[in-house]
Formats: sequence, C-alpha cells, structure tokens
Amino acid sequence: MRPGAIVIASSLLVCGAIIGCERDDMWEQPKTAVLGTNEFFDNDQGARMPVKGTVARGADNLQEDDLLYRGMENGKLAERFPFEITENDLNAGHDKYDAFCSPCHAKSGDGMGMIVQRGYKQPFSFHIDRLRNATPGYFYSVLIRGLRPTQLPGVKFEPDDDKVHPAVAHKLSPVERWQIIAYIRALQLSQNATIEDVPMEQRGELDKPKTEGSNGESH
Amino acid sequence: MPQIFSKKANYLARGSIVMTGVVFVLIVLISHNVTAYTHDLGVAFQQPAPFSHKHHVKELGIDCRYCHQSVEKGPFAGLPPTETCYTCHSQIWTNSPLLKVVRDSYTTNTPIEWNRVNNLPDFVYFDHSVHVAKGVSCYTCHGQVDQMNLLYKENAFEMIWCLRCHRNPEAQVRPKSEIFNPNYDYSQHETLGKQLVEQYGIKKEQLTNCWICHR
Repeated sequence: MRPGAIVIASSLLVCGAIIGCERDDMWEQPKTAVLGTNEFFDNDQGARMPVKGTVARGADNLQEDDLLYRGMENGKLAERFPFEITENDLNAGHDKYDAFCSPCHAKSGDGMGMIVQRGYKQPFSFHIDRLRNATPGYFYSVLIRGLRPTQLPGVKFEPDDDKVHPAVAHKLSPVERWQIIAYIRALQLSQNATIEDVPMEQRGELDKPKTEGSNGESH
Repeated sequence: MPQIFSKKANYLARGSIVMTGVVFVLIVLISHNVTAYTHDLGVAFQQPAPFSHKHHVKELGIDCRYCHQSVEKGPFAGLPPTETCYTCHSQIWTNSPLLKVVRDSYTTNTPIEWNRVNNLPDFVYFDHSVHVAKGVSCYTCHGQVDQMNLLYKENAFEMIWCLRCHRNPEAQVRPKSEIFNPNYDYSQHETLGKQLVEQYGIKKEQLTNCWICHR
C-alpha cells in the first residue's frame, strides 16, 4: 500500500473513532439501575418484591410505638398527637396536604377538589361536626388503612354514605401523616372561626387587601 | 543546499490537507449543536400508555410529588406504583381503552414497563433530594413538563449543561415554596438568587469539584 493511502486510511479511522464512540463500558456498568431491568431474574425485574412470608426491616408494622405508627393508644384510636405540633409541623403539613390531599379534598377541605369535579366520589367535608369532633387517631387510621364505612363499626354513617378513601400509607412517612392531620385541624379551625378567635391586635389586618406578590396559592 | 524536506514530506502534506478537512467538519458539527439530534431532544417517547403530564399537572393541578414521591427523600424521584394511578382511576375513566395497560397491571400485579426518558451515564452520581432541598425546581432541568402532552427530553444533561448551574447557582435556585411551581417568575431574581444561595448554605466553591458528581 502506498504511504499516502495509509495516512488517509488512518485519518479516516481516527475520524470514525471520534464520531462513533462506543459507550458501553463505563456508561453502562453492570449494575441494576433503580427500577431498571436485570436479566438475572426470571421477569427481568431489577427491583425485587419481598420474599413471601417476610417483612421488611423497619416496616411500620414492626414498630412498637403504637401511637406514632398506628395512631392507636390503649387499643383505641388515639385522642392526641404523638408529638407536640410546632409551626414548622403545620407548614410541612400544609405543603403535604396541598400535594397529596387537595386534589380531592380541595385546599379548603370542603371536598370539592379538582378530581371530584372530574367525577370522583365526593369525600366528606372536613367541616362537618362528625369530623370536627373526630380524634387525630381517626384521621390517621383512614390515612393508613383507607376507609370503607362498613369497616369502621364504631362510627355512625348516614345510609347513603358510600364514601371510599384509598390507603395512602405508602405515600407518606408517619411524621408526615401527623403533620397533615395537624394541618387538617388548622383548616377546620379556619372554616369555623369567629372574629373572637382573631387576636385583638391582628383584627385590623383582616380588612387589608392582599399585597402584590403574595398569591393565595403559595405559602 | 540539501533538501530540507525528505520525499516523505509529500505524504505529510497530503495527510494534513485531509486532517484539515476532518477538523473543519468536526467544528461545523459542534458549532451547529448536534446535541439536540443525538439526544432526541423534543421527541416524544413511546410509552405503554399515552400519559399526559400536561393534563395531570396543568389541567388538574396535581403536584409532582403525588406520583414522584421520593424526589424529596432520595436519589431517585420515583415512578408511581400502579396503585397510585388507581387512586383516581378506580373511579374515573375506568373503561377507557387508553388505560387498559393500567388495569392489566393492577389486576395481574405486574409493573407497567415505562421507557426511561433521561438516562444518565452510570459514572454520574445524581441525587434528586439534595437538588430539591437546595431550591432547584423540577422544571429547571426537566423543562416545562406541565406543557408536555407526551413527555420528551428538554435538556440533554451533558456535563457542560450541568456545570452552567453548578458554576452559577444564583441564577436558578428558588425559594422552598416555589420548587414545584411550573410558573415561577424569575424576573426579580437578581438579588434573591444570591440571598438564597447564602440561606441554603450552598458551597459554591465545591460545586465544580470533580467528586461532586463523579465518585
């Protein structure tokens, strides 16, 4: 071969190497990506289900703290929160409520959220007497176990109440659930408040128009 | 005077002409941003069900975290289990042929196989939770997902693109309350950005270290 041809061939080779880089060594390492595939298993599913008859370490139902994890105290639905609710908890609860609950329950808690407007069964308003008087443990129970009226013999329902609440335990940690319940309590207060509940020095603020930039949607 | 160049120099000369051509072509390719083409930017991905982010996010107002729950808690934002789809679709659009995949998945207890849209190289360590915790919005990297009927890649996630923000986080970080807001207004951001970087304790001098992303 003529040396000229060698130069041309090798420069084409370099060119090809630059353009057609193979990226299968460090780019695709032999590890399973989260929720990725793994041909080692029968169904190629990298994320494995727990083996039958086993319980994950640290699972909620292995925890001993009945109040925090199951909302129960002395075998009954808890009547108090497992920890003191601070302003931070309320803000966190507000954030989580808007993300996880408001699609159905609406930001005001009246149960006319967007999903309900699109055809989902309307949930109870949080502002009915039964729920105003319900214990924190009741809300917690609905959150983790879901709700079918027939499953809660201790609670009186109207005959036409065919409400359904899916269990949402997998979406929220125990602390987040309690924060949401605390925020529901705040919502209930807010919809059932009189002028007497507003501290004297802040009453003047109620009539002020909203300032520019503080829209009601954010917090 | 003897010849300065030997006879072989002819081949060098010809070779360099070829190489000049090669370099020229490369420069043209790079300057014409082939990124969009090679990374399939803006091309809707084939998915088992035609899920519309626009419908669920913009029209229904569902928060990103309703489905991508672990975005605040771990490296992976999370894909919803079929159970999450079923929260609503047990009652809404229950007979829709578009949702057959969802029903089949739920009744046979097999996961839906979504196609991954963004696939980082395995030598990049990316953690969603720290970005969200430090004020980076979903929309900053993933584009206006709330406008996408079918999901597509807005950005190529090349290293130079990551670095733009790692060098200058002030331009992007948002207040905590605005992270999941698709319509955040950056117009008054100049002073706020600096303030937020301070407030979040973002160590700018570390952000461009190799080991921040390559561990």
